[in-house]
Amino acid sequence: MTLLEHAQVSLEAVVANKLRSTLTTLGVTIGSTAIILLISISIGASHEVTKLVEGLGSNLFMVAPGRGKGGPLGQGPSLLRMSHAERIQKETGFHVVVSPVLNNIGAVRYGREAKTGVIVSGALPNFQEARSWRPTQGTFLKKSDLELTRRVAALGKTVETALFPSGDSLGKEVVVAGEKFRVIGVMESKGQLFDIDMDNQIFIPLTTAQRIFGTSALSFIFVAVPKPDDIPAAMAEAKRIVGQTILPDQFSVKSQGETLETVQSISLIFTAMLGSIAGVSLLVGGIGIMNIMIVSVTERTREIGLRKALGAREPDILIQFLSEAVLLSFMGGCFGVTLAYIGAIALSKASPTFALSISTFAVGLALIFSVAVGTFFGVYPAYRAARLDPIEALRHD
Amino acid sequence: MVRIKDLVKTYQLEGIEVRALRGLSLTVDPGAFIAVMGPSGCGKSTLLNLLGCLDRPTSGTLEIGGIDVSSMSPTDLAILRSQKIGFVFQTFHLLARASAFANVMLPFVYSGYPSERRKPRALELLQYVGLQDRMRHRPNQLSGGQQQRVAIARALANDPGILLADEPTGNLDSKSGLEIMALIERLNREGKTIIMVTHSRELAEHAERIVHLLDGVMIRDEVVAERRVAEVRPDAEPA
Repeated sequence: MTLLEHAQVSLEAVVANKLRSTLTTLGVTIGSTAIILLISISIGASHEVTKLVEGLGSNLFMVAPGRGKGGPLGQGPSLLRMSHAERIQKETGFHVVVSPVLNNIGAVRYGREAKTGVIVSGALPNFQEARSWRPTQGTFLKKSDLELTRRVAALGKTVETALFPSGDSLGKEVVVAGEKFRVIGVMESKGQLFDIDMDNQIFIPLTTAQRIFGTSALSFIFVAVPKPDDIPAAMAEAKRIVGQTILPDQFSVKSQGETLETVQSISLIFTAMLGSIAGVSLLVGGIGIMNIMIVSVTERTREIGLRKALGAREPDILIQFLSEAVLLSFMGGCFGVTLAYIGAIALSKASPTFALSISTFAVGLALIFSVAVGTFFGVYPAYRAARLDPIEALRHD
Repeated sequence: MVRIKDLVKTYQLEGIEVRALRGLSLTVDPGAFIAVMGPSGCGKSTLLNLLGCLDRPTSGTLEIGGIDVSSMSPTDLAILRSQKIGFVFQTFHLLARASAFANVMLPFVYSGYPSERRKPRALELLQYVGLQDRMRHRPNQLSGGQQQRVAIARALANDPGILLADEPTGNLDSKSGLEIMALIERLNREGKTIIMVTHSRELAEHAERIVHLLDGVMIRDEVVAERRVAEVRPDAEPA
């Protein structure tokens, strides 16, 4: 018997029981749809996060207070001072841009409008270069603003939208910590980083920030290195320099690359987890196929007996039933792919910001899995069919 | 030529040893038409299963066409079945979802019959049994007699030398039964060896020889003095 003949016999059997075949494939269909959608969503999300983190600058590292604990807002008393930043700038052998910031959380008011929970960030003019974050309107902080501890502010997009819905913020005066600040610029949007809205932020001169918050401490020292390859060496330098004046557990040096690795490994675990949950439903689908195949073998016992009487060998019967199971599960996989594409279109229609693209990797994985499931769960019924005694089988009623 | 010598078949049935055949010897010449008779449990079904290579004897030899099949592997037996033996069953055993034509085509996949000759061969066979107008009909659209004729066409697919018939008319009315007997007689005239199991003395008398079995042994080997001939000749007017 050729492979084509086997395929034909199996197809005939599947087509002969259209309703049953469709219902049998349903489990695998749902399973592979779930696999494709979940993995695609997860991969999409991880791409999104990677893009964001990379957007912060792959040539950036930062010195934060506390060992590894300095969250983006720099909790805890910081022992970082301007002198550290200056020494990193001077003593590091690379052409680094050192940009210290002092962050605080507060409210920003304009007239009767108020935006709370805003990151008020005291920064230097070189913050633009260090973080490649520039104003879309007006200007960023200037050297003179710092020298004269001026009360000027560049607004993040979220703050601007909240306080100036009509977009005419330049030159207006907003109130921060009880003091009036003139708006000199509006920053480009950076979106969300994890759960933090990067645009819910305003920038004021670092000197002014130190005065109004009454501290000379720094929240972070950002260091941009011209070549990403130099980051490890520059980080080691910075660690050594800062370590000369404060204890090793009172600060930490972190790069975006490390953050990125963490994010990627988390998202990998997430993808694997979602994938395996979906895989379980595929497995359940496989059990459904096995169940129906066993029923089918019992129902067709006489047919098996007859085929054997006509000269079918054990492998012929085995392959016939095995390929029937594989065909059912592969069909389920194909339906699943179709359904996943329809689902992706529907999801994208429902929320246009959420553009889900089906990953070919997920499609391949789902198809391979569905065939594997069919093979695995088809072997036992097929083996039972092949081993039937032809005499008994012909007598079966 | 079928040669059986001291054939013994015992099997276990719920722990009890059943001796279905107890040293049977029998020779069937090529082109012969023999009937096997005997009460239920006499071993005639066991004999037919052994002759059909569906089972292997416990001891003794069974030669089909000069080949000793008593110790062949299941795979070799399957190949032998597909080439040398045609089965005709009391209950026809047609595939319900397949047309008459597809049913006749069924044995070809297992014998490796040349694919380009399959369709012409199936057509020829359906013509031979007088069902050329019913090719696309499914078994449930055919009468019992017609179903048995499809089954005979199927049995002939690979042009086997031996036709094994197990109560071939048992599920048919007497008129259809006679038509089937006429068809079997015709096949015998054309050279097929026929071995038919039956309960009916009347049907057995269509054969040239009747082998009587009782309790797994042959008690009588009778040459039919006056053979019956089915009245309706299939080459005259098929129903």
